[in-house]
Amino acid sequence: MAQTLDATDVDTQLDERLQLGSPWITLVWNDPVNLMSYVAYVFRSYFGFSKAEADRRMMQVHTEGRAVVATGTREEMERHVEAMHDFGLWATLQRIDS
Amino acid sequence: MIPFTRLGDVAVASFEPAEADVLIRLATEVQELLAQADDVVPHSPGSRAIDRLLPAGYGDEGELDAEFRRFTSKDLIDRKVRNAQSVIDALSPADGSAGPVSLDAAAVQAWLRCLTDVRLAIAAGLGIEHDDDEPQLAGPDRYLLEVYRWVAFVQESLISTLEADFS
Repeated sequence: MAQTLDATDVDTQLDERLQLGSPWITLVWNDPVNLMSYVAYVFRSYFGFSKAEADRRMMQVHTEGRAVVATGTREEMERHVEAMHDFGLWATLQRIDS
Repeated sequence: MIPFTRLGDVAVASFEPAEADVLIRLATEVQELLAQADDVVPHSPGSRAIDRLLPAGYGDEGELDAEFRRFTSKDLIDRKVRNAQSVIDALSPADGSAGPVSLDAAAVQAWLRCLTDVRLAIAAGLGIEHDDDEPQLAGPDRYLLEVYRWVAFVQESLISTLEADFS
């Protein structure tokens, strides 16, 4: 018998996942130093974004002052933030609801 | 300078001796700055540069930032110092001859990061903190601003050689 998930099941699973340890995000902040081409390159090469997605998030950093580039556990986000600092980008991690 | 172009697996550029000297000096200054990261005077240009090279992980200016720094800064400093050394070595051939610079994939990554660190350090010294701070600089800072923009040109040409890696 085929198992299906209705929308309510998916929502419940997502809620559980968020409660079980994925409620952290990595933010990259705008700075006047880093080149737009470099920020887009870092997003593409490190996070594996497509060119279009990397450009979109880079522009979001530039115009809105910051963009979320990753979601996951605190440990994962700490690794990403350290990698961004390695590239010379200004990144922080925080709880998703803070 | 002949900007970076891609030749097979390597990125190649040529620098005038005076240009190579400037890059070597800037990379050395980043190394010296990082070596005294723990001893910089608060609110000095040096401490502003360190804040950009080793930014806060959480931005809470408290316990979390201090802990993040304790666990990451030593390795981060070591890697940044090695990146700078890669730039210095490539521009200082053992036989003293000034030839083209040829960077493999690992060296390209070191250069990208070091050129960023160099620009972050210059920007901290010049007080460039917002998107429209650059044009207002005048006087002696003008030369440093020209260098800052030239390093951006070098980095931009290096980035343009990397498109091939994605296809």
